[in-house]
Amino acid sequence: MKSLNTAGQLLLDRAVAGDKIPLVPLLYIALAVPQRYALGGVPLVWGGFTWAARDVIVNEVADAVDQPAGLRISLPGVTDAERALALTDVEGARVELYHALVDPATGAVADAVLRWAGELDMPGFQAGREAVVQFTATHRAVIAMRDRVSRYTNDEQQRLYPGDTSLDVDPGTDAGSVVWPNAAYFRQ
Amino acid sequence: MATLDWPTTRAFQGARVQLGVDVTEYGFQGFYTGNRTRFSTLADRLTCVVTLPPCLAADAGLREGFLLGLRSAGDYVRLPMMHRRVPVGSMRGSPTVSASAAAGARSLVLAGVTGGGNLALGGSFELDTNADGIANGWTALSSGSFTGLTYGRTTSGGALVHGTYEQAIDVVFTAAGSFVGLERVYQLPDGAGTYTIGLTVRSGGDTQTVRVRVEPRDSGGTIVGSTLTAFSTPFPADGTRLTGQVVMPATTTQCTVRIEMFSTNTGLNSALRFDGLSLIRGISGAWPGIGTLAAGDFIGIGGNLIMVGGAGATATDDGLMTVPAAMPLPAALSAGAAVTWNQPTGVWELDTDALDLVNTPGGVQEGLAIPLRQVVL
Repeated sequence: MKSLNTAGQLLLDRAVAGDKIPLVPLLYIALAVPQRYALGGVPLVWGGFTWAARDVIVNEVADAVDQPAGLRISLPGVTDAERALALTDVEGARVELYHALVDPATGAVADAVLRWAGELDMPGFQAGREAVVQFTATHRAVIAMRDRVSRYTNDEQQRLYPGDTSLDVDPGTDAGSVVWPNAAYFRQ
Repeated sequence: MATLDWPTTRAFQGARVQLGVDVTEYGFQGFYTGNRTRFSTLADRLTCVVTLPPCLAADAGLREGFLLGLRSAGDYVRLPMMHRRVPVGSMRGSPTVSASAAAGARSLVLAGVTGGGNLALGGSFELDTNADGIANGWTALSSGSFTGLTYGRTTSGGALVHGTYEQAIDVVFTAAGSFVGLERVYQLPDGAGTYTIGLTVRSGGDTQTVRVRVEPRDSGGTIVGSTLTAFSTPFPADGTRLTGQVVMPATTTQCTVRIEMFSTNTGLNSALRFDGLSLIRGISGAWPGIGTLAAGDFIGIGGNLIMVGGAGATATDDGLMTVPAAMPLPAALSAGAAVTWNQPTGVWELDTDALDLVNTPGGVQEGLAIPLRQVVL
């Protein structure tokens, strides 16, 4: 259960009562230059950052119990800068999608809750009449449940724990010889 | 890409304007109740379809050249709301944004709002925050000999033009030629020229003279030329509106208006009440009313059009006005930003990939509908 702060809960109560309350998705992508987009018509300030108004399409977020859904994100792909996003090494970048409740009187964000989190996966773009840059993103639960292969090699150990020599062995030369007792030993 | 002005040639006149709003929202309608729950994403934009009437070949060429160029270059067009070029409300003058407002907010506060070209903020004498008997923004002035000078505000109404209060001055003059009164500095955005001052008065006690004088000043505050007298007259009948013209000399950018009770008799109580000061460029001494904006009026701030919401707005006597916006503010507003009320323009983009420019035999181009959508700067 994601709880809202008092101001956010008041806005949600008004929405349920019939008021039309702004509820704007906020998208964060942790690229080298962090991208913060407000998926609406105006820039919003939340969490100490200004979230730039941007035409971004995020496909429906529909989680299932055993199958957390991925996310498909489409940005306009009409400028070189936007297309370059699809050609850079963005895989693995953290992605967070929030929903921000905005006070309709002041335009200030009252509260925002995390709706989805994961990592960027495959980028791509398409040109043409509808030019878009597309990303898919994988839900963090899927990443958490992935098999983690470990070969217990010294290289892996050095990557995980630099300086640890516990796996720095060569079985062919470092292992001690195993001497089995002769038959007389068992006849004692 | 450039932003072009909507042409003013005959080919683009006589347009029919169909106004709309493009609302972005998502929501849900209950199956069992029919109730709608809707969430906005704060991207509401004005739309309009400008329909030009049929025209002859020469004008048709102008239309084709402009519109097809617009489509090809992807230019924006700067267009006023041709069906409501100035507010239905009385707001005129040079208002500004009083306090910054965030994008997406539903209201904004303006400052310096007066009605009908009246430059005299505080001319209704309604507000007296420090309760000293002198309306906000005014300063006491006096000269000569007198006793018992008191300032106050009365509600009995013989001079009342607007609101609840009249400004009151009571005094006993002890020497002829003395005077007491109030003064205030006003900015004159249009500078030199003829201005008319109007004031409604009532009086009591000893008969004196009521006069309004003006000191024209340059931008540095120095008096330009000599003090001008708008009117100077013995106490008239209660409720009389006094008017007079002054000609501000060159280099005048502001002036001090002085409302004075001048002694022609001494020894008795003298009382002056007044309300509804107007200072208007040109020849108009009538009280123009307080500044208002009506529902549906358009104002321009930072190149964006803002439509006034259904409640409309009325300024305070100090010229502050909280304006409800019909749609969320498209951009953040900074305090001090200028507000345009006279034919404010918005920036629009073509909202279609196709334009039907149909020319018929006989050299007549059929009427033409041009769909446009508001662009936010």
